[in-house]
Amino acid sequence: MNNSCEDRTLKLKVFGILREKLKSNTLSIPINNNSISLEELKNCLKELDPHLSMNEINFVFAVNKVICNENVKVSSSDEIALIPPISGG
Amino acid sequence: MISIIKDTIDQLKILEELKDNSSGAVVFFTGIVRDHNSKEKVEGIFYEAYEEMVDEILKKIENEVFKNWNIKKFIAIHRIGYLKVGEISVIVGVSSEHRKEAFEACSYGIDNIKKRCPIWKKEKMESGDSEWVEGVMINE
Repeated sequence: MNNSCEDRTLKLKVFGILREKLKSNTLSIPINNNSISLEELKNCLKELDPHLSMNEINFVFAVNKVICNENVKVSSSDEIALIPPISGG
Repeated sequence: MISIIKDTIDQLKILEELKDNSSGAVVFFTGIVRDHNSKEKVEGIFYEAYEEMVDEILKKIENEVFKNWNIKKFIAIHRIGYLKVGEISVIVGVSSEHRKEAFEACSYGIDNIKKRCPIWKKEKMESGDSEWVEGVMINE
């Protein structure tokens, strides 16, 4: 049972201003199903922390290092990252 | 050669790597930490990256450059960590037979690094304050 629960946790990488606001470079999000859409995940995140509200800091998702729209479904085997606005150079 | 590094970027070493007896041109873009922003004096910049994703995007940019321009060599390196004013944060270098291809490919390289690579910077001001630089949404 424990393994099953572990398998249903999404591990998210967090960077930049979001990492600083959340005081962590990773987030663990338990999910009820094997997969959820990024739109559902975004709603979970907004409930988790007000800093993740679209109104405060904008961000998009990268799944397995590719930027994805919010219709895409993710599971615990995916590498998911929150990407706030970038400013390299 | 493309990479994210933590050490100082040695431009002369990169020039030697770009030089090629069949190339008559080497063009560089060198990004340097500036001592001010639009409001105040800056002491340094902290750079952070999603390194694994940056590596993948740099590979894509490299492939695009070789596909679109007849060039000999392409180097793109971005530094992360804390950099003081005057230090090199990013370098894109291209060698080619003639200058036109090298200028165009170099410009494409840096423009696409800025638009597509998940890298973030936080400026440390001389006043002691620090602030994340307002960025743009990634366009990858």
